[in-house]
Amino acid sequence: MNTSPAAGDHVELVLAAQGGDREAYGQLYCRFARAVHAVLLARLPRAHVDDLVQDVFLHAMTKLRELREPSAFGGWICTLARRRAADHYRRSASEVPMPETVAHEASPEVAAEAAAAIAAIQELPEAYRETLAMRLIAGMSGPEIATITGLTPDSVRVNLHRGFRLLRERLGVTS
Amino acid sequence: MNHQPDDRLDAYLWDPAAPPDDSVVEIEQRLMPARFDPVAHPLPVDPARIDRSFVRRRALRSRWLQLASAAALLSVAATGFGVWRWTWPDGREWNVRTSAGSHDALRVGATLQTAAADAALVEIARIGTMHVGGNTTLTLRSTTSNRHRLVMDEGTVRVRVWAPPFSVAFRTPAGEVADLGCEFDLTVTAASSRVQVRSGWVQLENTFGEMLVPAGASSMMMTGIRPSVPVYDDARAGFLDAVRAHERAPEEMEPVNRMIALARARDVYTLLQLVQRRSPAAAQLLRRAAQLFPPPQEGDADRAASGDWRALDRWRMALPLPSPKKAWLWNWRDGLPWFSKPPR
Repeated sequence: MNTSPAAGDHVELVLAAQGGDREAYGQLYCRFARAVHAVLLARLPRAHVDDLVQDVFLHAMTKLRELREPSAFGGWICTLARRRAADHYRRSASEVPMPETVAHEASPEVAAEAAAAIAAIQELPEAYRETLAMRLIAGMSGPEIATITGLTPDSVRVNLHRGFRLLRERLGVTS
Repeated sequence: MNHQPDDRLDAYLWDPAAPPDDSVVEIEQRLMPARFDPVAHPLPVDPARIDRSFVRRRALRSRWLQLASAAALLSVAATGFGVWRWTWPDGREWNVRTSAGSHDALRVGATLQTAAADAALVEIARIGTMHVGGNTTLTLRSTTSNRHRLVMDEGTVRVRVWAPPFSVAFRTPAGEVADLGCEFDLTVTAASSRVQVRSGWVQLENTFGEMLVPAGASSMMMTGIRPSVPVYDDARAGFLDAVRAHERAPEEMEPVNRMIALARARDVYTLLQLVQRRSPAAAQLLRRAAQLFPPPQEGDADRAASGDWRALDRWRMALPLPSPKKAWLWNWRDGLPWFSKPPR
């Protein structure tokens, strides 16, 4: 299964999903879930993010027929994810923030390192957060990030370079 | 200067398939537990269910849109139809169909005269119809949008008009008869005009006074006498005679007693009209009216008896009758040709 958001032509999948093809929508979910996850994780505590990824896709399913340009699906669903994150942030502003956690199956040391890395990404300037999360957590390439975010390849390259240097410094990783 | 590590870093950041950079790999590995696996997290809800609810919502919204569009179209069409219906070129002739089946035109200034056995159907511009009975003589005096005037010397007509008040009026020897958006029968002689109102309101007026006649009631106008008060056609036997006797001889008590004995709640309109005409028996009539249909405010009967016309108006307005000015709109059936029936 191809799970890379920019790889291949997803236009046909979007058209099929708009026509009610549930399998096609499942494939779109597999392709774009990691990008949506990265968008959310750049903004919200990880404890909420997995559920919100599914929320975003369920919501998107009800709005899918409003999408006029199927090739813009990636940017569109990331926009929905950003709105969902902002909405979640507003609603939980008065709540006590949850500490960063990671998968239960990881050892305490590994989990702590991962939580620290996520926290460091979230503390970066806003321009770098999403780009780095897409690259380092979702495993996307620069061109894929440019396609899905709508940024120019040069901007993505700069964000990756500057953001990573800051992140590396904050995590104490030597070059 | 050594650019090699930076080049490798940038290349690997840009393309994960490029030769790896150690620092990037280290941070990638730290973040590995946070990776999201869509296969391990399938969508929790049966997509078929979402699809159906989505389709239902879309269908519902589509239905609302269709309804709203239909309502807007209907409104535009109704407005257009109304404008078309109520406008009429100044002086354009009216269509006439005689009982013999011939078609004719009634021009401004022309007279339509029928023999005893004749009848005719006249289209009143676009706003209604007029069935003309035998032995009738009438002249079209003027016709233009929302103002059509006739002179009727004698005969019988059934008029059916759906238009704002006073669109159609007849000048008769006894006075003027004006429609307020309605259906009515009008019988005219050289000395009197009698109207029987079938829907809406009709106004009778001459130099001695005016009278509004509601649907279901009849009234008469005589030459040299003000219009008589309306009496409902379904009044108890003897009530009409008592009212007319009281109008002729207000000082006599016998007709008053008969009216009081025979009046129903619906006849309060007649009683109040008599009081307004300063009947000498106003106190008795008001007492009976108050028993049949109490006034809206306590003490209004006494105030009306002492000449307070505002109290009398308040009482009359409280009666279950539509407003003459707006009633024509509610008589929409008068605008539909298939409800039109010639007089028997």
